[in-house]
Amino acid sequence: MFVNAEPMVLPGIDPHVDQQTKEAHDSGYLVICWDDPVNLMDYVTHVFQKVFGWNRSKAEHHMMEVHQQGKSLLARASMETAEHYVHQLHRYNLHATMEKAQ
Amino acid sequence: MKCIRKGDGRFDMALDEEEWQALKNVLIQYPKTPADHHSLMSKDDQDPDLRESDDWLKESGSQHQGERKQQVKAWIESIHPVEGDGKTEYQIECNPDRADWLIEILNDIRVGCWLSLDCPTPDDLADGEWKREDWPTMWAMEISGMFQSVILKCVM
Repeated sequence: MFVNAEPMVLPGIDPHVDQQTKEAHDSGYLVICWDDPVNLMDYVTHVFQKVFGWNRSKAEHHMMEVHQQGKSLLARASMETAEHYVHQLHRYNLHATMEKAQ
Repeated sequence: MKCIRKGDGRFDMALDEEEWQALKNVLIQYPKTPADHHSLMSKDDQDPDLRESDDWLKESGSQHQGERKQQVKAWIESIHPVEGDGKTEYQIECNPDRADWLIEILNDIRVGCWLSLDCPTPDDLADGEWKREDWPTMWAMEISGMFQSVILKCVM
């Protein structure tokens, strides 16, 4: 007679690892643009319009935030989308970074 | 330099001989900003998930600049003088894509010059204590900014 016996070693689940991955995907990444003294204000506005498809008013608002506060949070997105945005901003030579949202 | 708007974001720029030579002398300096200048992460953040993407994007940036350099060379060669009223003019037709392309290239040169000059602030620039060997770089930075401003005004 075949008897189902419990295996000696049960497959383990590391809740910490799963949780970290889930958090990273759920909360996403922040795309931040930083101030610098070289990029022209009209140029920064133009780039925001191009990269994010924003109207002039919204692009100008973020440009002024960069200029006056030193940085502006431009988007909250998945890792892939945030990478795409930051890469586009770099192609236009703006100082942009991404970081995990807390 | 004259800018004639034609609607739908299209416009013509008319440059005299001196303006065209200035634009050409700036554009042939492309690329000026090192392809690995930017990073996805800030200096304090070393997210391992992003490090690999960062390396890949830097490599892609270098390839992008190589392609652009060829495009710039071809574009300069495509612009020919037009004789009229006893003077030479260079007419540049721009649609939104061409304008964006020119602005991006001019900005690469402007930022690259700024980096070469050790990232001066506007106050540093105003002080005027510059070595003679820095003058051509300062000239290229200012001229590329001036052309950027003119094109951006035409686009708006």
